[in-house]
Amino acid sequence: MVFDMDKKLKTEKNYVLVDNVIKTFKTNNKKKIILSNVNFKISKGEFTCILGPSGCGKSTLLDLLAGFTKPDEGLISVSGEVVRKPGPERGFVFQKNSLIPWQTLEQNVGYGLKLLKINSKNIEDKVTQYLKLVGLEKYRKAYPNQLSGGMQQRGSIIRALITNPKIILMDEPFGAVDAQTRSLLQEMLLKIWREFETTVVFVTHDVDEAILLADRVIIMGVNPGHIREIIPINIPRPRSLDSSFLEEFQKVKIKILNLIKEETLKLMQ
Amino acid sequence: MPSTNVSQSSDFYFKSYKKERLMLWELIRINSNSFIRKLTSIILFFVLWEFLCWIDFNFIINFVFVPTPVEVINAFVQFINDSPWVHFKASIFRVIGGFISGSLLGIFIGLLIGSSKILEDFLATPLELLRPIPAVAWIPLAILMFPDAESGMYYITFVGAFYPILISTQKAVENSLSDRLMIRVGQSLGANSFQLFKDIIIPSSLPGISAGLVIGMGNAWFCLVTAEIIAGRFGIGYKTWESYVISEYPPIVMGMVLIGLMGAFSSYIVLKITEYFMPWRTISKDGI
Repeated sequence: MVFDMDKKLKTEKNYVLVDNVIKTFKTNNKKKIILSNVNFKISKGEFTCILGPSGCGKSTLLDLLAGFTKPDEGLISVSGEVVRKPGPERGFVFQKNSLIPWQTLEQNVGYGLKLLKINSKNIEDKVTQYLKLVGLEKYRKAYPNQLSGGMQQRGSIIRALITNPKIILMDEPFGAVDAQTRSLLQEMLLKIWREFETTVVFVTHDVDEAILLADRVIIMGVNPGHIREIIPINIPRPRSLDSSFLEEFQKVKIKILNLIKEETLKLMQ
Repeated sequence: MPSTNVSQSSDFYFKSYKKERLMLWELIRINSNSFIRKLTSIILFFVLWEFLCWIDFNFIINFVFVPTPVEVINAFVQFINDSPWVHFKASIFRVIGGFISGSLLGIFIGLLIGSSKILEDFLATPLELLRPIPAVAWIPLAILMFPDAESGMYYITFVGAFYPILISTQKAVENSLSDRLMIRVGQSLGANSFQLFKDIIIPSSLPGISAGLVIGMGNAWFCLVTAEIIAGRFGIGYKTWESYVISEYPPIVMGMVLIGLMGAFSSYIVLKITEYFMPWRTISKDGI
């Protein structure tokens, strides 16, 4: 049985496995179900976006994948290992202001490596390499409050990436930056994803963003949070802002918008 | 490469992180209005004081026996000519000694009870019960408990410094623990509990601890007169108390002014030292 489980976990297709996950929160001694029977699999190297109206539990799902919280029932595994607690093997990019305020940009980016007890010379080299990747090498000595929102998010992305994680989890990382910066950051993220061949799970409420980035979009429903539908996006890569003018893009967008509208209406009843 | 484009466009967003260094005369020019206002207020204060003494003001507050600024200055000159250094030295040592022991113990216990419910349950209640006791009430016990007057005096300045530092540290740590985002950042990068404490909780508590240290330093001076009531011979506070006992009024006010000045100065030094450890903070009060 244990052997079977191992086999089940370790196949390529089951790189990320979310198996019958139930999550509840207690408020005023009442159990509220946040996620009910969530099942999905993600293959290695896949870019998955999670979309849904607010309150559908998409951030909760991401917290579970990160290991910040534990499921009440069910199992979550990444690359054959059951997720039990947060760690550098699963990089996390938060919505905003997540660079550590008392560390300079380079200290922030290198912090994960420092915790892995890598010697400081190697850390410096690697930090320089990653800062160059996102065009921040000039600002390595700056503190986070001296950087713009977009620069802070670039810093958070490479900070999550630098420990060579098995997966990157992103919780609306571009939700708080302005539209122009956002499209630059989206293209930058796609480039990094191609280069590093990482697996990405990206939570967003922006439909255009989800279609532009994802291989598959997971649409979540409400009352309680569940998976409504998983939609593959077949727009050819490499994609850019221009991709949004393709017919395929518009078709998928209308489909997704309708699904989300249905779910949002359920919330209002 | 898209990355180069990103880097060029981002210059626009970047606020210069090199702090501007101004020449002294520039600083004076920029602050001159504020400086003139402050100077005027001090001069007006002394003029008012002198005036109230001169007319023997006596309505609710009685200025008849209050020494005038000139008398206080005379007392000061006399004090300076009469080997003041022993007094300064004795007082400074008592304050610094109480402050340093108070900060070490206050920060240490504050970190413990701020971060652990069990330790809080064990330690906080007795400490809370002792907290409202004023320094002057400790005098008899300080005499009884300590081998000599000197260590008793250290104890009283210590009590003054200890509590604000303890409470500020405890509250600052609790506040840092409530910042779930930074704790999650640390956890997701692989920090264990000790590393979270060292790299996240303590730095984020520094502003609160710093406030406690500044107040603690002031309080140590606050308690100096009380402490030096049990001094045999030396100390600014002792000088003040002795002058009161022998009804010599100008040196009392001189002692008060000296304690005020040294207290303000040392609090300022503490503030500057703690700011040195928090280079990431930029405070602007112009844009509220």
